[in-house]
Amino acid sequence: MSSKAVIITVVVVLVIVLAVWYLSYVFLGQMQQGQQMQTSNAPDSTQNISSDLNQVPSDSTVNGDMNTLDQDLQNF
Amino acid sequence: MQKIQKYTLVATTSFILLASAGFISAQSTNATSKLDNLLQMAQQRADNAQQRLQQIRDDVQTRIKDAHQKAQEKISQIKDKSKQDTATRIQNQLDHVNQVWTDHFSNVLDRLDAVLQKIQSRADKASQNGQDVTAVTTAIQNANDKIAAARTVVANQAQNTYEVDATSISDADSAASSQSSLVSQLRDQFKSLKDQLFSDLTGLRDGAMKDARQSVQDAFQALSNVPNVDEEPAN
Repeated sequence: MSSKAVIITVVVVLVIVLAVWYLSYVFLGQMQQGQQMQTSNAPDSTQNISSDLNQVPSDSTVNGDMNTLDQDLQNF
Repeated sequence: MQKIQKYTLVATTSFILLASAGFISAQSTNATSKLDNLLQMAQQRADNAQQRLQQIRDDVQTRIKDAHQKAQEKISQIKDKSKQDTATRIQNQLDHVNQVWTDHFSNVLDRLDAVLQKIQSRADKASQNGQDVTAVTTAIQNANDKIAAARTVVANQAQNTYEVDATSISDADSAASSQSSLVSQLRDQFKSLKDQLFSDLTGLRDGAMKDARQSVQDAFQALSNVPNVDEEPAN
């Protein structure tokens, strides 16, 4: 194998390595930027926490059983 | 020799691609797993509270078995079948309402605990971003204390029993006056027990439960006051 072929091979490998790491860096940066823009979809975003808080059951949901008890007492 | 060169080139490129993919994947899942851990711990607390409630109820059932049976014997002395059925239903309903409400309160506390873990997760991220989250941390600690206190009060409420005291009710025969007296005595006790049950449950609802709800709302409000709180950390 000639020394020229070795040099070409080394250069090609180096170019590929640099290209891959550069693309990874750019891709990761876009992902992080995307997360910032899409925080409304994160489970712990303030919007989702607010929604969760609103979905905590109200105490009025259990009043029905007490009303039934009242009704039976009136009929007794 | 050229083949070896090609194989080396392909292998090196493949390794670098795989390493890059792994690095990116690890970065993106790190934040999610922290929240998952917090939610898993909240679920564990919910499971423990549920087991504790069940144990208390089993103990209560054993404790009131005799009193319940004696009350049912008095109820069976009522000749009017309709009133007898109603009395049985009221007696069972007293315990049932307590169980439904304490289950509901326990469920609310589980939900509030889960919400609080999300507030904690978001506060941690804000802190990583350099924001001051001191007020949020204080509010979260307060909410944790209020939820724990409410769980204790709910467990105490589950231990309460609402049983007719059969020993204070005279036996009845089939005479109209005797029947009327029996129904009247039972009615008075049912009403007293129902008033006590209602007072206990609304006291819990408007006391420890309300405090727990408000404390989580306060923690959320403190979180919302943090500037740029929804920004994800850089790493």
